[in-house]
Amino acid sequence: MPAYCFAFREGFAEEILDEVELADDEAARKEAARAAREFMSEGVLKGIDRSGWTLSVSASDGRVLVELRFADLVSRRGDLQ
Amino acid sequence: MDEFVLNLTQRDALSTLERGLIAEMTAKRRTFDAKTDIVKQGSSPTHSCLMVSGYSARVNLVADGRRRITAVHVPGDFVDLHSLLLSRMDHSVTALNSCEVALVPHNLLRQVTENHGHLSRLLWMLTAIDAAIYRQWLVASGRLSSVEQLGHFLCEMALRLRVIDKSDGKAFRLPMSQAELGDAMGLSVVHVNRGLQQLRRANLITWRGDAVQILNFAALQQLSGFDPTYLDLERRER
Repeated sequence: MPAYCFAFREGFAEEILDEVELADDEAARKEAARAAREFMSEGVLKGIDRSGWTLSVSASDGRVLVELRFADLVSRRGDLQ
Repeated sequence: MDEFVLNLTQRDALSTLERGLIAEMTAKRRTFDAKTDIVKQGSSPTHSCLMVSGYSARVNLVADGRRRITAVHVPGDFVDLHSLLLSRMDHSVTALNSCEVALVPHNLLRQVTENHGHLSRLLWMLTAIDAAIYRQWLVASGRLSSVEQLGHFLCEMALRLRVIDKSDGKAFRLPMSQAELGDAMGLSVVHVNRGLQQLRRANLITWRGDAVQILNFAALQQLSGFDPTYLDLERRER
């Protein structure tokens, strides 16, 4: 299985994960959105707002597949809809 | 069927007659390749499966094909003792690596429950421990962080494998991919990876291939709030 690099960043803070094995580029893109939401939820449970973070995913050949801003993954409209 | 006997004798004594019955019950064997189903969701088995070697996972599928692993089974575990009483399987059991399984006929299990009260209670105890493990997984999934969940799971596996002489309580084999760990904990592969990285950087574990080593059990136990009471490891008359 191909390996991908996941890098979480906020300003100068950075967390780069060991190589994550996923089926293909599409699976890596889907996993990125899920991981970003999980990372935010974990922050919320600790009382930390992580909406300013980004996640970039690159393939082993250096191609950047996706660059996600966490803030773009949550809706600002009122919930309970 | 040494591991099954070890699993029971960790918790109570077995008579010579009971050991003989176990040998009779577990005589019929079958091997399964990794990633193949040992038990299929929706089926109505005529036998219950006891792990002789290898690891398997209880798997529940949802309509869109996603899955949740709700148990990990090791040698000496009955994976579907409840199929004796339930009409249809509400889950599958899939081999995580190459497995040997004893196929215990339901008619033989019925005879045991009708004629051998103590052995029946021990089988009942196994389903009770299965349920206790399931409850702990539920609590861990809902209340622990990803890194705590991973730590809790590794502490549990170390102790379960120690019972069957497959671990010294620290080092053991765990043939699970990060995707399978994610399916077991309701986490993304990325968060499993991240959690394991945190455990490695804290010098709590190493994990190479399928070889896991817990470097500081007490610290991992403290981090994850692991309390082994639910594994009911005390040996006493049942």
